[in-house]
Parts: sequence; structure tokens; C-alpha cells
Amino acid sequence: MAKKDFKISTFDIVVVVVVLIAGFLGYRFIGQDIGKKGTDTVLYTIELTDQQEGFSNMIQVGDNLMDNVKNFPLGTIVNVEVQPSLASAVDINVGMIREAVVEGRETVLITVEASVTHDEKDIMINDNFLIKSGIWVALRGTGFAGSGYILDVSRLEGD
Amino acid sequence: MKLIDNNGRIFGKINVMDFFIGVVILALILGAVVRFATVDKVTGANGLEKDIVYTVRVDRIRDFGNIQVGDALYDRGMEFSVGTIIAIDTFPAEDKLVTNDGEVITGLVENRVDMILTIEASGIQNEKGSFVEKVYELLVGSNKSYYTKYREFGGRIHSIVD
Repeated sequence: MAKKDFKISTFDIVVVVVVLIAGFLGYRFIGQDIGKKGTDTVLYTIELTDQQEGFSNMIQVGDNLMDNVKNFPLGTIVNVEVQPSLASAVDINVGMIREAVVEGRETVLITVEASVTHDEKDIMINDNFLIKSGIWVALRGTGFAGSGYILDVSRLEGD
Repeated sequence: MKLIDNNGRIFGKINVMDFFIGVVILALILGAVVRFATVDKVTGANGLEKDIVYTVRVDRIRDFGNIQVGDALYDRGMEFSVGTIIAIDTFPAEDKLVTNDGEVITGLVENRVDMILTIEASGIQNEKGSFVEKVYELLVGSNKSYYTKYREFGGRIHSIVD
């Protein structure tokens, strides 16, 4: 059987060019975010409002927090702060909406330290739990559970 | 004449494999045209790219320290940034209150601010409107779910400055 000559046809060149263009477009529109992820440690604060007085005693520095919906780890508690519980109330005499202290209730601010991955848009714990100020979190620790907004996320160096 | 001859050529001219590769290439080109070219026809976003400045209003926000000048702004559902925050102005927050007489007055809201973010974005402006990245039309009055790397918040497009 005669050996076939090795020849590059016009079609072969077109195929190679198309593959190169597809690769470039793929990188431009899909892959550019990949590989830009960094890892770091952030501190973030969750606010649990309108808790019964003494609730904060259940929360210990050093405990691990978990997401109470999908069981994602949320990090380690590094600080617990208690503040008065406030409720918005209309004060029609002065024509404004005030924040009034609610007796017998407390607001708990839990500061959590977590290892995160981040890109230019998001900060994630374990690549699956998004943290931003303003996001609602249902959480549980050792012997307690609650839910509240993330109040603050520490800025990463360079941001 | 056979459709495919003994050498695997269609009508004795084009190799079957080459034919299929050609079909795939045509499909890719067609897909690229639909994805990247017809967008302009859909939105009317034709013209030269320029810097567009617009403002976003955020009402009665409590903690805004994590929204900073220089932050990239994103809209939920959009993969790209819809601009960069270049200025932040805050005012005492207000809301409507009903008095005991049934009169509606505007009152201050304690511990909240109304915020105007000024955003700069690269986009296109023509007689049909203002567009960021060709597909994101800036419609004054439209409510949006915004986020930055550090903060999520709702707001609405307040004005297109330039």
C-alpha cells in the first residue's frame, strides 16, 4: 500500500485558524476571570437584631460558625459585641422616624474571621458562600442559631 | 452519479470530512455573528464608545462605609461592570409620614441616609439612549439590584449627567 503524501490543505489552515480564534474568544469572554482569584483572610460582622437579653452569652469567641441552610462553614468567631436593640418608630410630634430602644432585647454583633477566595467582583468562603455587606445569613454555632445581615466586610489589601 | 463516490468525496469533489468541518465552521461563524453583531440591532447601541456619567440613588441606607469611590459597580444578572463609582453624596434620609390629621408630611429618618452615587462607565450614547457594554441600557427611574465587591444594595438610576 502506497504511503500517502503529507500535505496541508487550505481547509487544514482554516481549521487551525478557527481553533485559535475560538481559543482566544473563549479566554476573552469566559476564561479571563479564572486564575485571577486570590486567597486571603477577612473579618466580617453579622448583626443579629432583636434577640432576647442574655442571648449573647451563648456565643463564644473561638467557636466555629456554620451556615444554617446548606451547612457551609462560615469561619471562626473572633469578637462578640452587645448593643441595645433598636426599633424604628414614628414620632409624629417631631415628624420623624426614630430608632427607639426596645427593653429586654439586645442586638449582637458577631465578628468572624474566615479564609476566602476573591476576584474583582466577589468574596467567597470555600468558593461557595458569598459574603458582602447587606446579605442575609442564617447561621448556627454551638448551642445557638440566628439570622441577620452582614454588616461589614473588611477590605482586602489593594482594594 | 453517486452522492458519495468510492474515495469518500461528495459528487466526486469535496471530501466528506472537509464538508462536515466546513459546516461546523459556518455554524461557528453564524453563532459569532448572532452573538456579537446582532446585539446592536436589538438595542440600537451603535456609535462610538465614550465615557458616560450617570447617577444612582439609594434610599434610606444605614451603613454605607463599604461603598467607596473607585469601587466597580455591578448589576445582578450582568457579567460585566456597569461602571466605577467616582463620587458619593449623602443626605439625611427622608420618608413620608401621616399625621394624626391624615396629612402626609416628609420627615427625617434617624440613622439612615439617602445616597447619590455618581458612576462613570464606558458606553455608547445615541438618539436611542445610553448603553453600557452595548446591552445594558441606562433607563432613568429603573430599579436595580446593585453590588460591589463588598456591598449589596438596591438603587435606581437617578439621572444621566453626560
